[in-house]
Amino acid sequence: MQPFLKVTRQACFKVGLSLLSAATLTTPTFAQDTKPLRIVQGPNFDTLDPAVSKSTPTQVVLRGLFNTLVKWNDPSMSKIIPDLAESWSSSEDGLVWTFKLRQGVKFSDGSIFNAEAVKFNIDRILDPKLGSSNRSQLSDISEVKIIDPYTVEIVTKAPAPTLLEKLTETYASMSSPTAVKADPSGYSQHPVGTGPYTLVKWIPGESLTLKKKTEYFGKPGKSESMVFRPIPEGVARVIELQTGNADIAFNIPPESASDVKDNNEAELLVKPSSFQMFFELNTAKPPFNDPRVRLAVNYAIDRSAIIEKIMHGYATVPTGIFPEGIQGRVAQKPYPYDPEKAKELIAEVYPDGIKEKVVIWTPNGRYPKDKTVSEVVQSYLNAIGIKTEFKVWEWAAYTKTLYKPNPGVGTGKGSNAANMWLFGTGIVQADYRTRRKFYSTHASNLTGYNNPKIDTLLDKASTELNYEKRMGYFEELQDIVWNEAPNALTLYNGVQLIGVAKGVKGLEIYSNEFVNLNQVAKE
Amino acid sequence: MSFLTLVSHMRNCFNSQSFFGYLVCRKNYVIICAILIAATFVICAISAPLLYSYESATRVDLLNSLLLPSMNHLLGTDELGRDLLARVVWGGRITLLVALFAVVIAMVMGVTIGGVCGYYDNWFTSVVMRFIDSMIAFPRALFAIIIVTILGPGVVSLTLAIGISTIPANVRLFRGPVLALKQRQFTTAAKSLGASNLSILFSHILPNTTSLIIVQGTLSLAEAILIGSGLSFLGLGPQPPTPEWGAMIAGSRAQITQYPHVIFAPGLALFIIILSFNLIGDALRDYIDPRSRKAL
Repeated sequence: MQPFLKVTRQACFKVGLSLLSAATLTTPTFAQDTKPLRIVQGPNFDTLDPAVSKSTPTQVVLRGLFNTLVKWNDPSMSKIIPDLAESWSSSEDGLVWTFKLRQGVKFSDGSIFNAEAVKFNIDRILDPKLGSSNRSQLSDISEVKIIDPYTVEIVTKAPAPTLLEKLTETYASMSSPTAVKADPSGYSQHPVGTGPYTLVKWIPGESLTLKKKTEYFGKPGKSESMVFRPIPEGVARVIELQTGNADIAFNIPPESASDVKDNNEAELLVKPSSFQMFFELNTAKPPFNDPRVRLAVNYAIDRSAIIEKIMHGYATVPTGIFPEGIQGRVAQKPYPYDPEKAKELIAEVYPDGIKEKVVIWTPNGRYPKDKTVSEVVQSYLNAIGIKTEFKVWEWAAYTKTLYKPNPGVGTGKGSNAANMWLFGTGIVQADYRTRRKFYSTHASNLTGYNNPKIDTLLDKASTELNYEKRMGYFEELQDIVWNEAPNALTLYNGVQLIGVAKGVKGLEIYSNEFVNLNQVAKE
Repeated sequence: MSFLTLVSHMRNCFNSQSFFGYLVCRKNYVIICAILIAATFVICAISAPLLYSYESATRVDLLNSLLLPSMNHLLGTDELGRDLLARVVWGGRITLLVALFAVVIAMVMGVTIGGVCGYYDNWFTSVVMRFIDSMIAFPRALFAIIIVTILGPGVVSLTLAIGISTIPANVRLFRGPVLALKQRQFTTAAKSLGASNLSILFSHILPNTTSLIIVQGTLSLAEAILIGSGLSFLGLGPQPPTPEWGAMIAGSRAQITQYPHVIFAPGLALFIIILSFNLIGDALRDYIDPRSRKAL
């Protein structure tokens, strides 16, 4: 018995050893052969179904896998150019849009892209059964008609000046109908599109690998393959970059920016962003039910100090509710730091001072320095005599609580327990950005903002086909909500910080923090 | 009666051959240092309001953020320009207070439940013990996180979470000696004299576990501080601007490469106090346990 046992142990040991050496030997060979582009991002990917996804990091991946009917020419976003549609026209009343589709395009599963696929994809988003949060974006569409295999008509309920802009968005990506029908529930793990890359494998929470397609109708991808890894901790992403384990690191935390800058092997890209941070103010509840108090708190914050000390200079003082890069932006006069004026304004409404505690909610770790900035705001509010109560939330619980409808209580749109809560947005379309925050009946209008003047402006803008005139309405809106009746305590405009290894070129960086990686190459 | 016994027992412990004298005899200066350090921390924590105003620990002053140690700010300032020493002192007050109350809860409940379950052996106590065993199956930190999540973050819920999560281990720890002491002759003697069960338990059996209580109390104080800081590192402790060591570490870890002094202040304080309590606890155990005392 004894010799037998001995042999097995040795055998086990040998097998184990050979497996180990095989594993260690093959990994570097694989890496040397293909040289994938290695990208680290903060959050995990929510889903790979473009119709459902709403996170920017996921969209960066999806742009490699999918195409849309039309797209923006470049990050300046000055012109919409053909992608899967070769040309388009609209009827005079702006209700019917006709798209001529590109011929000979194939999905990576071999099926053909045609008018039927367009109808399938748009109908799919509009189907309430899918439960996509992007559905409301396309809800103006009443019907998609197939004219011939390569011509499609999109009919809208009202004149839709923003239709083309919406069709450039990732949610309007064209998925293979065959693939979706074959496995409707598992499609989010096996996306099939027309893009320059295909999905090799996705291990949630660990890595996602894309491979270049040999056959692509447009400009083929530059790098052979890409590997995306989620790394939630900002400092850890910087370390990955510094140690040469990543080629591109997204969302560099401001305090680590100098680490990337000082590194000889890496480069820091600083780009403007449409992102703005603000505290939304509950207008259904004292003290912020009075617009004067909402204005007052805007004067109580020293934004330059926050930007310089907390954001290490990587942010800018807001000049209006629209940062640069947003349609129809008109610069407003920035709020000066004037605590005396703030106190005066509050004294007009509350001669004896605000008695009740103002409840401040903040997420932790969702936005750069979110909790820290909130603590500073708290101290500025304390300094003008506002008593505060502070609560730090985990992001998922935070949005769930804030967006939970609460009919009949406070704003009715969400929780009425807080007076102010921190949010940020990077939405580029003027209409979408303002409608969800200011239109009195919109479900996302958490502050309960209700201003008939603004509602009228938004109503007019939504059906105006003339671009100049349409933007005119947004200019008026920006003036009113900045100078007369804000819904928020604006904090700062973001700056995109991306770290890249030396020799990595070709990133197409958009102001809404979306980055196109299809033409990125490592020298 | 039971209290008097306890006092006399403690007096015996410390007077006949005092703990301090014992340490000096053994030339155990490390432990003496540990005691002095722990005492300093406790005194600072008690007298925090005299040393620094609460406002100086919480007032944001962005113009003076991330200063290096100087005469004005002995440990420098944090990201929001708050004096780090003031925050460490005030943070220590809260950290130690939380740990102390948590340990008191854990000890009182642990000794009571453990004593009763050890002394009375019936179906009810076995059900309780199996329940306690199933609670031990949860990792302690996880158990504490569950409690804080239910109660909501804050000082009180943090204290309760640490305290309650320590109870199961304490129950097990105290039940063993009670089981053994129950069989001893003095118990039988008390019983034959007609003493009631409760009086036997509380005036004859539990006083014999005093040494265990002292040692376990000191050691769990260190552990309570660690778990408390861990939870508040995760944001489950007192809410800003209240200073707390764990939260301070969490807040300053982003600057660790550029401004390491900010994270060192609370980190070092935490390290030193936990080490001190652990050393004191170990020394107390050696001192109280006759076998290891003879070994020297």
